[in-house]
Amino acid sequence: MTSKKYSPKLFRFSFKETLKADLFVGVIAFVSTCCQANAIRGLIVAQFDKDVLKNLARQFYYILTYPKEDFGSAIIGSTDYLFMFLGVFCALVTFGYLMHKNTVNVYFSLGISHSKLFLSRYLACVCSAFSGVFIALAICAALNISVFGFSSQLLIALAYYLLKLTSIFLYSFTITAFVMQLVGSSLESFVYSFVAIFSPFMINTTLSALFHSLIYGSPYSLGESAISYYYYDSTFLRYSGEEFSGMFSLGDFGKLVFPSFSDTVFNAMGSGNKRLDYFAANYSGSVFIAPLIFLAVIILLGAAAYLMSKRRKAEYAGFMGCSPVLQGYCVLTVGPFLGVYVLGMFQSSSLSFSQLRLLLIAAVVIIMAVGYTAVEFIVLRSGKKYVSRLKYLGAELAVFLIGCAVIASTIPVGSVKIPAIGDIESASVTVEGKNYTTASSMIPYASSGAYYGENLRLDSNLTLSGNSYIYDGFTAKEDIKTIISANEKLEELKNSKFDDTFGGDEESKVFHSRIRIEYTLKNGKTRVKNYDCATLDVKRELNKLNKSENMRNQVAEQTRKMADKLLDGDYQYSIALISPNTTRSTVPLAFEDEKLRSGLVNAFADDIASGAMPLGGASGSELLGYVYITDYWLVPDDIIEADPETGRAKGIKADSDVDVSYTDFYDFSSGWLYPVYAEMENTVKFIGANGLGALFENASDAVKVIYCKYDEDSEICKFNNTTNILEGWSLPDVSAQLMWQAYAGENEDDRIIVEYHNSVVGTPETVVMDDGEEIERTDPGELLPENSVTIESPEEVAAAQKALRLQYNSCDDVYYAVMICEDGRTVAGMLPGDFAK
Amino acid sequence: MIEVKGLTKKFGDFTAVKDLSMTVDDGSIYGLVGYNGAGKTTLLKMIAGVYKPDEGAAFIDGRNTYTDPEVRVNMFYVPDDIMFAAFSTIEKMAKFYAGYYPTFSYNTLDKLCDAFGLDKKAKLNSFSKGMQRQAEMILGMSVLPSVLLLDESFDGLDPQKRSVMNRMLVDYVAERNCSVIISSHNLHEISDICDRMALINGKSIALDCGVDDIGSERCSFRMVFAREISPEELSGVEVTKFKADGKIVTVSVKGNPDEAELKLRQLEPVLIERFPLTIEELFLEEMEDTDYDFKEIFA
Repeated sequence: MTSKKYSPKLFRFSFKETLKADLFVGVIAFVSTCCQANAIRGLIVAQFDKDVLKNLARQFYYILTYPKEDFGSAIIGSTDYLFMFLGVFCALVTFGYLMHKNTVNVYFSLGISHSKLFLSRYLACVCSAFSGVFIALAICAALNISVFGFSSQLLIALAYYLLKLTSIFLYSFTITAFVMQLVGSSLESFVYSFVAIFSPFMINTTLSALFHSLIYGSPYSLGESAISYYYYDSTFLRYSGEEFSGMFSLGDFGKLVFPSFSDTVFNAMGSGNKRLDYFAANYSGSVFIAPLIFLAVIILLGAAAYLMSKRRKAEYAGFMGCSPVLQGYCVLTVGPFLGVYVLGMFQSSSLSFSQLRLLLIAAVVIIMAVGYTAVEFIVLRSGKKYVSRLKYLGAELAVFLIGCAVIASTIPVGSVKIPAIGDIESASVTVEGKNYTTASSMIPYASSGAYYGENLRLDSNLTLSGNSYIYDGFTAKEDIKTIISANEKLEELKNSKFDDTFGGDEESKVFHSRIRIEYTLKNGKTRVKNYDCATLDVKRELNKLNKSENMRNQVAEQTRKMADKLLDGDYQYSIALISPNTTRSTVPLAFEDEKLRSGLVNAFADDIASGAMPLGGASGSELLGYVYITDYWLVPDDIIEADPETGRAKGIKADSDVDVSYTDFYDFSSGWLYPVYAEMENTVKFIGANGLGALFENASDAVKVIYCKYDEDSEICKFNNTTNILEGWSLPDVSAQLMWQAYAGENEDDRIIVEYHNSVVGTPETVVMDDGEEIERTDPGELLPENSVTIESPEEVAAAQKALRLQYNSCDDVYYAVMICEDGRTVAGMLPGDFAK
Repeated sequence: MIEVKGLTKKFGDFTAVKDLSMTVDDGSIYGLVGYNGAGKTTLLKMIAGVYKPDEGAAFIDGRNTYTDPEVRVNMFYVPDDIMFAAFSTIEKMAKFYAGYYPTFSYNTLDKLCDAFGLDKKAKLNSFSKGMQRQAEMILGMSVLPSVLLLDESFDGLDPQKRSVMNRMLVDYVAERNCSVIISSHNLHEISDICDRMALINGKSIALDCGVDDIGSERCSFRMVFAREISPEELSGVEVTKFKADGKIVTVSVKGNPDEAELKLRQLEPVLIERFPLTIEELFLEEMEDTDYDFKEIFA
């Protein structure tokens, strides 16, 4: 008779046998890691360069060691999902013997325990995947070290990717393995595994939506993780440090939720509530925190799967519906999640907070009932059994409703009252306005979604726009009073209905936005309030913060950081000086001197800090001109010629809809447009000292000015208030862009709107449509709104030219204006209300 | 020695096996017969350690086959639903089994393959059902197990192969003194190769005896009486089947035939004849409840 000595032998044999069978896992892991690390591309390039090793190494090195570059989408995006699918697939293959009667008969009658059989196969598969990733990254390391020498950054990066990719594989593999211990069919394994894999994401989203829907001014809002899921390309900039607490609905938990966990390296770098400097991003120990926590959770899951394997029943094999618990879990997870999506469809509708709340509950109840019925019929295929098990649906609905009641009671979040001013140590405000149209239709409260939301963001320079910072640390009593006042106004909007339409009485409208206020209390606690709505009144209140010293200092600090960065040569920012009416501007390439560029930006920073450069509004002092800073080329790629006198270039700009050929074209939409006022001593002094003052003189004066108030019936202009805040750099003034439109076609359906606005200064000459048809430029004067005013007298035009600003605070009483100069240049901007009247 | 003690297995509300006990000695071939769904496969799977019994346990040499997986190293289970890995051959399957069964003998495998004329390198999926059965049996015997569980393993074999397989099994048991349980619907086969058999009559064992002792356990009597006899008058005898045609009565009796005859004679039959019961008759008696009147069904 046998003895215990056989046990390790059988374990080893099972391990080896599975390792052999799962060799493909390692191969796929190896190939996909190589591909995503650009190794293949490196090899292709190497064919031409005849320097295989160096190119290969360069590709690896670049991808792995420059977290500040947006390579997240290259190595992480698709690889993460590939490893996730690989994990599921491997588990289905490795533990597939549990799904069939004949295989269960063989494996369960072997002289090895069920749990050891599970463990040996589990470990073999993990080893295979790990080896694939490890070998690929080891090759990468060897190549890099041999070509570039030793780099601690490289080693950290490699270790990070090894841990991360293995973790993602393990995550889906372990969950599927766990699910397979409970069910008897491959179909159920597949479906339930995917639900389980995404259930943290679904639960997080659902809970966030529930908190936000059931508690007005809830501390939790729907995280950007949900949005980023659909808008991958823009996540890189968004997930920086401090934003986590605001972006992820349930705080730092969010970054552990797949797929948020895998978003970007930058995401992983965010630690706690510390602000992460985008420009100084480097790999450090903190990148390992998220994957290690993730790994710890996986180990627990693996242990649970191991224990479950001991109790696995052979008789499940080949049968569906063996796990009512898992079935119920899926309905309870997916149902409310889908309900949240249904609610999202009504997000932009004119429903009040209370109505949205009822809609959410009704949607979830209906979806759960339908989902439960569908699953029951697919699994059981028996009406009688369905009826007999309706009690479980009742139980699930009860769980959901009780959960809603608990959340609505605010017990889980504590006090939601606005704290008294005496209790507040400091406060921070974030105002977001996003235009994720699709997301807003799918995720409730995910987005302001509407123009007015952007309007709000635009007018608040303190805002956390999609890629900016939270402005915090407001400790002055006056600032805190302002924040409380705005907060109180927001509280009053509880039962108001949204109205994102244009025109009419804008003062009384409640439009979508995202406002987050965080109070740090003197007792050390924090109280967070999130809102999805705002009014112009709220907006005005928050704009007061632009005048605060704290705000000025924060913006100045960010500006100085940019100045520092200009010196290190990593970022090739272009700088141009522009005259007040934009008829003269420098060729940006003229400012290649790093010290010159850096000095100019530092001078701006000093003026921001001193208050000479106003935030959130135009200065009353004389406008000398603009300084434009961008990390894009100011001129189009296809420069035909450049005028040495004016620096103007001719070129062709590819529009998204049509090609518009311009002369004198500058695109000001991709950078920061700083106005220079006479009272900005530091900037003026710097410009004068470097002999640049002449560049602020207009080359051509205006001959005609047309201005109007925006009217929703107007057919010639509309607002497109987009932010000029990029990468954390705050624009001192607000850009309200006026777009002039030229039409092709007789009726509304046919017409193509060609927009050119103040961020694209130039003279459009022809518009070429998709079918090649050329359309003559429409003279703005021919398409005037009814309420427009045209002035042509030299005195009035001169006054208008002086008052015109490319940017104004649209909260203010402003008119939208188009100025036509002697040389035909069209300049769009804004005129103050006082002037127009 | 295989010992089964109070095994019970339920599938939801359905009880497949209830409180079943039996013993199979070393060097014994134990036949398991019963109608479809009687619980034979469930019983074998519990002994093989595949199913966890709800109650009771199966033991091999005193070691629990479910909780003590080591004991299964010397046991081989040939299920009715054979599993071969995709594109596998006898050779590949031999490697698989050799890894899990330390006693696996390639020498035995080679000889058995020659005996049955099977190509070790041929794809098993290309084999006929009968050939796959032979291959599985050969692999199982090559393990040289001390306990062999065969679930309808001879189904699909032609008479010649069946005969060879029977001989192989008998010789193997005699040579290696192993315990074999074989379930089958082929009652002749059971009576040919088994030295002991059990009749599972839905959940429990209706009969457990040596094949040669069937006549001493069960028999039938045909009697002619001077008057009509009711079943109640036979209360002293354990009657499993009673059929009266006027004064002619036929009964099947459980227990010692001599004692039964003695008791029946006390009823003063005019004529009494005793017949031993065959396995088929025994089996059919147990199937009495399903004696449908198909004429009526199709009328």
